[in-house]
Amino acid sequence: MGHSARPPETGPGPDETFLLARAQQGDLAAFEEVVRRHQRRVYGVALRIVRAHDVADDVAQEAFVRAWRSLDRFELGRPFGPWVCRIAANLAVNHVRSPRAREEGLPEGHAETPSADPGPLGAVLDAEAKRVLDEAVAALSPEQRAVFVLRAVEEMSYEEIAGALGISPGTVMSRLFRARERLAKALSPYLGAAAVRRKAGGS
Amino acid sequence: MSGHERERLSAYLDRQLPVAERAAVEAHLAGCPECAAFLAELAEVDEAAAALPAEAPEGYFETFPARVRSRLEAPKAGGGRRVPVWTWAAAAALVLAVVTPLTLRQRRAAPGETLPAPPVALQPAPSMAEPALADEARRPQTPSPALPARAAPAPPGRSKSVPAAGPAPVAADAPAVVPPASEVVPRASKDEARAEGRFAREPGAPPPAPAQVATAQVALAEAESAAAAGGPAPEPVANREKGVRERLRPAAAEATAESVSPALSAATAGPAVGAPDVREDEDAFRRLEAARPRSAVERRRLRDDWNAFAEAHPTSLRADEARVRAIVAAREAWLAGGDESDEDAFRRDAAAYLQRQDARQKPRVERLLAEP
Repeated sequence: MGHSARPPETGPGPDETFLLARAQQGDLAAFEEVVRRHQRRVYGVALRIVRAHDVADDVAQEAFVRAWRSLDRFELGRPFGPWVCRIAANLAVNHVRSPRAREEGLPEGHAETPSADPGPLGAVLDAEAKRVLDEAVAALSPEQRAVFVLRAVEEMSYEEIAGALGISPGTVMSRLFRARERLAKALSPYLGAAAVRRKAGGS
Repeated sequence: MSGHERERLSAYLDRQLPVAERAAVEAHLAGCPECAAFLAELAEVDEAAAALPAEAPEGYFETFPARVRSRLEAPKAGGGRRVPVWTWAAAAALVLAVVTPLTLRQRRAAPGETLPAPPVALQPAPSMAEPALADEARRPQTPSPALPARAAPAPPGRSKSVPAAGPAPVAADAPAVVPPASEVVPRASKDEARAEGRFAREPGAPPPAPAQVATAQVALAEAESAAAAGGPAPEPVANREKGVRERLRPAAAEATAESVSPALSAATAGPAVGAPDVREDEDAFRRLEAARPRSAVERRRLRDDWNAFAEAHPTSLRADEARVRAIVAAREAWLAGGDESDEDAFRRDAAAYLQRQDARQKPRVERLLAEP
C-alpha cells in the first residue's frame, strides 16, 4: 500500500471515520493521517498544561500511541479529537503532579503583580495583559490549569473533563471556578483598562 | 455575592446549571451589576486564555506524525511500550515555553479537525489511567446530558461566552423544554452588552436595550476591526461563524465535499484490487510460520511481523491467516509476559479482525477471545 505522498496537514482529506476504520484494522498510514490532523490540538493541550515543549512533545506522542493501542475501544463516528485530547490531558496532569516533576520544579509559575499603570493605550497594553494572563495561568496549580485549559480552550463539557482527569463533575466545577477567579483577579486591571480604551476608540 | 454563588456564575457561563438554578442566577444577575460584571470578566478571561498561543518550534509538526508512526512500527512495539515516557532532560527543558507574540484571533482548531461536539462516552488512557478512569471506561456508553452549547443546531456564533439566546442544553435534570430566549437572557448586564456587540448582526438576538449597549457595540466593532488588521468590521465575526459552522459540520459530510487524496484512496482501497499475489509473499509467510518465539518480547515481535505481512500483502490469500496469527501471537505475548499492553494489542487486533468483511476465521478468533 503506497502512502508516500502526504496530503497537506490542513488540506482536505478522506473522511475521518473512514481513516479511523482503516486504522482500527491496523493501517498505520491511515492513523498517521489522523495524527497529522490532530497533532496541533493535542500538542496544544499538552503544552498548556505542562508548559514545557519537551514534556509536551512526550505527552503528545504518548497520547497518540495510547490512542492507537486503544483504538478498538474507540467508537467509530465519534469525534476523535476530544478523545485523544482527553488522553493527552490525563497524561499531562499525571506527569505534572508526579513527585519527580515537582522535584524538578515544574512550572508552578511565577506570576507577577501587574503594575498599577497599565502603560500607554493600544497594542502594548494587549501584549502586557496577555503576558500577565499567561503568567497567571502558569501560577495555577496543575489540576486547576488542566481543568481550565480543557474548558476554556478545548470547550469540553464538565462531564468530559471529569472523565479525562478522573475527578467528579463537582470538582471540575469548583476547580474551574477557582482558576477563573484567580485569572480574573490577575487580569482585572487590564480588563478595566481595555474597557476604557474601547470606549475611547468607539466615541 | 457569596463564593458559592460566584461559583455558580462560573457554571452558568458554561451552561452547566440545571434550569432552576440557571433561572435563579439570571434573576440575580438582573439586579446585580457587580455580578454581571464579574460574569463578563470570567468570559473574557476564557477568551483571552484561549487566544494565548501554544506554539511549537518551527518544523515540529512536519515530522511529528512520522515520529509517532515510527514508535508504532518499532519492533518492540505495538507502540514503544515500556519505554519510560518521561525520559526528557532535566531542568533546562523546563523553562516555560509558551509565550511568543500573541495573535488575538488565533484559535486552535485547524481546518479538518472535527468538533468535539457530542459528548463522548469516556475512553481514557489505558494503563496510566487512574482507577476512576478505568471505571469510567467500563461504564455503559450513555450520551452525556450536558451537551456543550456549541453543539446546538443553530450556533449563535461563539455562544460559549454568551449564555443568551438559543437552545441551552443543561444538566441531567433539565426538562426538554427550554424557555424562549427572551425569558432567559440576562438583560442589560455587562455580559449582555458584550454579547450584543459581538453578535449584533445575528437574527433573533434580543434588542439592545440601554445606551451602554450601543456604546459597547461601537467599541467592539472597533476592536474587531482592529483585530482584523484593518479589514471591515463585520468580517471577523463572519469568519468566526463560518469557522464554527465548519467545525459543526458532521465528519461524514467531509467525505462528499472534499476530494480524497490519491495516495490515501489507494491506500484505503484495500483488498479486491488486482489478482492475489501468489508467489512473492510465500517466502515471507514461511519464514514467519517457522518462527518459534520463546519470550513475550519475541512473541510481540512476531505479532507485529504478522500484521506487517498482512498489511504488505492485503490481497494475498494468506493475509487472513496472517491476521489471525498476529492475534494468536499477541495473545501469547500477553499470556507470557502479563503485559496489559499486549492484552490491549490482542483485543484490538481481534476486534478489528472480527469487523472485517473478508475475515474467514471468525469462530477461531472468537474462541481465542473467549478462552481465559
